[in-house]
Amino acid sequence: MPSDIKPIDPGTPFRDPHVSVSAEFNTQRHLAREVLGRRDEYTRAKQIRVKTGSWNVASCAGTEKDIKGWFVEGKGISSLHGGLPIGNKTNDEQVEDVPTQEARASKHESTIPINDAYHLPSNDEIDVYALGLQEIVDINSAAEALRPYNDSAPATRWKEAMAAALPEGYVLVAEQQCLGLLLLVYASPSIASTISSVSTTSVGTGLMGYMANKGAVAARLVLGQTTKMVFVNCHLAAGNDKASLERRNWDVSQIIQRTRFSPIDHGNGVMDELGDYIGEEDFAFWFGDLNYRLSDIPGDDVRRLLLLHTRNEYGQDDKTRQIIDRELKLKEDAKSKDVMAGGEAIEPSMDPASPLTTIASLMIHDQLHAQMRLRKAFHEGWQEGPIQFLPTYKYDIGSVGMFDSSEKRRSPSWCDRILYRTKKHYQYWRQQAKELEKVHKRDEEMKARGLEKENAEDIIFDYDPETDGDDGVGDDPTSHNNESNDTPVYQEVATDSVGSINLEYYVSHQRILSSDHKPLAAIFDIQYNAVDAELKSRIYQDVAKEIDRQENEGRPSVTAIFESQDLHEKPSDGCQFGDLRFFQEKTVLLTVANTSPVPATFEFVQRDGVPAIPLWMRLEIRNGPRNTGHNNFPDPITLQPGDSANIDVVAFVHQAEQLYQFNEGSTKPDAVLVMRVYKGRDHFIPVQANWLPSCFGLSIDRLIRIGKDGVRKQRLDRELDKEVVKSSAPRELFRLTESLEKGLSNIASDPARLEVMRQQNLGWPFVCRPIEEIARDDQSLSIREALDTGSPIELPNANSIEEIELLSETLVLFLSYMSGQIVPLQLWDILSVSLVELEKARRLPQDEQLRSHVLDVLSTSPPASISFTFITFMLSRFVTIMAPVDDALDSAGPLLMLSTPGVQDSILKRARGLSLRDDQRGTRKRQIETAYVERFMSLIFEMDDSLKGTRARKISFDMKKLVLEAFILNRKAE
Amino acid sequence: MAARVQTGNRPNAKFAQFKLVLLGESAVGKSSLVLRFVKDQFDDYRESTIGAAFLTQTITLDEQTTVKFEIWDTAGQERYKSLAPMYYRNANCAVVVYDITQASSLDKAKSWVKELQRQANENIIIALAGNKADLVTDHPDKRAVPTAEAEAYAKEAGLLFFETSAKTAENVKDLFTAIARKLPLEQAGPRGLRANPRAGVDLRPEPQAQGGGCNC
Repeated sequence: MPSDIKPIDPGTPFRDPHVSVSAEFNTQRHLAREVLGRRDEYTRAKQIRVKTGSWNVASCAGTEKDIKGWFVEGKGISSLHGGLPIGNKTNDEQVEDVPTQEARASKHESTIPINDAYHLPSNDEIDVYALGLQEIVDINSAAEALRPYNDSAPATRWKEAMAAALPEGYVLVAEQQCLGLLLLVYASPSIASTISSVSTTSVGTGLMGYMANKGAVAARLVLGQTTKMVFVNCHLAAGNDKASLERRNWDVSQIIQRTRFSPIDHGNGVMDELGDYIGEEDFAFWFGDLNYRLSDIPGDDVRRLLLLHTRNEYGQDDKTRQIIDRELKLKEDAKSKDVMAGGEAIEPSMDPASPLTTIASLMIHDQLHAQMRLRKAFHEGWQEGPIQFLPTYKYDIGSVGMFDSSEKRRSPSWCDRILYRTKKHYQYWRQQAKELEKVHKRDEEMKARGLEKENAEDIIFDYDPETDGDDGVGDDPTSHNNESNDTPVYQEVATDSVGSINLEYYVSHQRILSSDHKPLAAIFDIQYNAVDAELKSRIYQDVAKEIDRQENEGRPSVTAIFESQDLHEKPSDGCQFGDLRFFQEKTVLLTVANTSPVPATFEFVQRDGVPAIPLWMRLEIRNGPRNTGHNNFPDPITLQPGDSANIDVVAFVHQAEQLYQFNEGSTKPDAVLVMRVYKGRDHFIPVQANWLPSCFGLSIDRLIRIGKDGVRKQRLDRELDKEVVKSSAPRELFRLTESLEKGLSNIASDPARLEVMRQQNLGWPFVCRPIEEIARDDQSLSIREALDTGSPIELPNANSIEEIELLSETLVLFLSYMSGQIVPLQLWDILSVSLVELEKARRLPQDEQLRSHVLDVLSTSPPASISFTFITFMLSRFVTIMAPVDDALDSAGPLLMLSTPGVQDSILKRARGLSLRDDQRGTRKRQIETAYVERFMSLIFEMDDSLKGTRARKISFDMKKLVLEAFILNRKAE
Repeated sequence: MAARVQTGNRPNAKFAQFKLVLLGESAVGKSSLVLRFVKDQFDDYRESTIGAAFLTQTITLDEQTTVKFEIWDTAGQERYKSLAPMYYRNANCAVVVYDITQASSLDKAKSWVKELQRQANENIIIALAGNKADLVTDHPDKRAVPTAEAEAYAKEAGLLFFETSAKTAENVKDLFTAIARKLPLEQAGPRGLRANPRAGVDLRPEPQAQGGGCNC
């Protein structure tokens, strides 16, 4: 039977261990856990009244009609309760007497005595009603036991009865039926709204150990988001024999083992990993027909003893009393008096004739208490209130006090019980159990070590169930489980702390007649912590804020400050370079400081194909070696908290392509750098510079369209091509060559300087320093600036040699950046084709004629031919001054001289009075010429990169050399 | 090629960079002092500093001498106290601030001084600043720390001492200038060079071939 099958809890979120949980979900969970951790701050102590009831209705028709009077109104308590301070009895006179009540009893109406008083807290004085019924169907019928599903009709009947009986608004919060077992939990409107995580289950322990003719139904619920309550309604194995007793114990252990509730959902994705077992709750209530009997006492005696009390309920002449008296064979004279009526002046509990005394004497035989003491069942901290009512089983149906008068005359017993346990009870027991185990272990060890047998036996025989049992059960200060306790247990237990329980009433309702069991009820006050929703939401906000704070503060973060090289300019958020010129290095100091409490690692990142650092910029760390020409920032940098790094952010435009773009305005020197702090935020750093256009990198055709005020006044894009030609050749070339020649003349007139100059390396002065050296040279900058602005070239700090060096370096730079150089590919193609044709015709001219031919071809582009002339003329001037050779030697021709055999050579030299030095000078002249030719080839002619490494390139190279040599070699200073 | 003197840097110019840390109880005005010093501004309502703030300010002592402060403005709230050593580690100088209207803030300042003298750089220059001087100009009764008392303490502990007002700017510049003058400028390297490059931070990039562009 499907007693154990539970519907899937839709509240359980699907969790696949292979699916990674989103960060958001994690944050949510973290938040919820943190809030949970501060639960004490938003919970407030609350006290409520819980009423539990248990009744074996023996599948009797009409039992549900008594539910209101019994369970909700607390009526039907017999005066047999004698000493119990239940309610006031002022209106006892009007209460229907027992014989009338019994005579009236029927299946069709309530059997509650008419005009009965409300003895117990009732109706809305109770916050939670937990009702456990047994045998709502006939469990002894095979058809019912084997029915594969629960017949819901009886349960519905009970629920309808309860709904009608309860005050308005009470809500059914949990229900579970398993065959004859029915558990219904109701709560008042205000409490119902604080109940969550309700889970119910069934455990069958009947036939074959699993059938539900015996077993339990259980419910777990969470009160006020904090307090777990468990209700177990069971029906254990029946029978008076020893096997039945053991079976009951087994049933209990099975119920405990097999009851498992669904995991608690704390909300916001926080859910307990595992479902709860019995034992994890704050409050547990276990009730039902436990079926424990009285042992070691003849059932008949019990019956007779009890009848002595119940006969007093009936009038002298009542039929029932006469039956009882007959059965008990009481003498005539005793008839006149109530045999066991309580003495007038004696406390009922002290009165040997009072029902309480009888009950106490019978309880010694109670199997349940014995099993508890023997730790066979319900020993794990379970408590029971003092039993001060007559056995609840077994009566003739329709009778207040007639114990089973059938043939069987079943021995009366307290089959129906209500047990309870708090967390403290359970923990106390566990602690005791642990200590007991320790003691046991020690004993074992001692035994193993061969202690005297006598001693060991002492331990065994020392056992006394009466006193030893108290170790585990009775020592708890809140325990009521002590039948020798003669003070009434209803007194306030002096504990107001959270998690405590106070049993107010534990009573049977003797005057309910519709079943062969009497219903049983217990009323508890429980104290627990309930979540205060308003407080909780405040804590929730607090926690969220705190988590945010922690996350933000614990996250790496840096402060970035930019300062211009000018120390007195204020730091700015962005990287401002100000005016930026070609080949001018501009530096902004970036200080990155780790202002977070954790190490921070940062780097500049690229995005969408945009490089991390634009090509015209580079970053250099101050405390490392210079990072020359390194465009991209190296590895990420890690800073410890409180540390900072100084980084030079350098803008330097020296690449031709970049130069063209800035000049034309097709791109601008601005950018946004993304400085990424790992696990922190991205810093967007605006970079801005103001590009000052440059004559460098322009083509010859554009250069001749620049006015005399320089490039800054003009647009340098295609618009420039539409401008009129303003000079026959690039003005810059003219100015540079002119300045150089002037400088050369100055030196020529100064023998000392001339000598210094002649000591220089070959190729001097047309050499370049490393680019970064040029970039940082303010004098170089001033020359370029003069060219760009049309202002005069002034080098106040340079001597004449330095002046020549600076100017020639600038010239080399200018020519090398010039787009297409002086002779662009197109023009060179025309020239080279003509030369090849002449060569083929074997009419390739020499010197003078070759020069005229070259100039003829170049004249198709006047600026080219003029520029060409400027340069070659200037170079030959340099050659002349750097290595002057006298006419005589010159006319003889150096080639001839060098090819002359050694002897002739020396004779010739002597004859002409030439010193060895002059001879060397002649050689040096050739070397200088060759160096100049090689240097300027690529500065005058545009190189076709596509020819690289081919034979065509070699031919092209040789021809260019030939052409330049024609202009520079063997040329007299004219 | 002949060497040429580069212009731009004056040959005798001294430049030094120092790490300065501000410490003191919450709400004595550390951030306000820095804000006044660096930006010459004042906010009546400032949010508490979280963790630490970082600012730089360069001052010129004379034509030849420039001092750049890297200022670490720490959070005064107690919960951030454990972070402070990270900021005063390697610090060349410290400004310990108290509020002249709160006697307890001087006690706190004293404990900071003690901690600095025990844990920080041996040669750290410490200045004691009694802030919120503006509050007592009109209401002398608001003063909780007599100038003489603080001054005596500063003298005894070897501290520079100023009563300042971030609000009116009183003595703010003087405070930092006095610190700068006390700092060992001759030991300071050229701009940007630190005395103790820190281990674990390898800032050197891989050497790489020169970029193209110049064909010379």
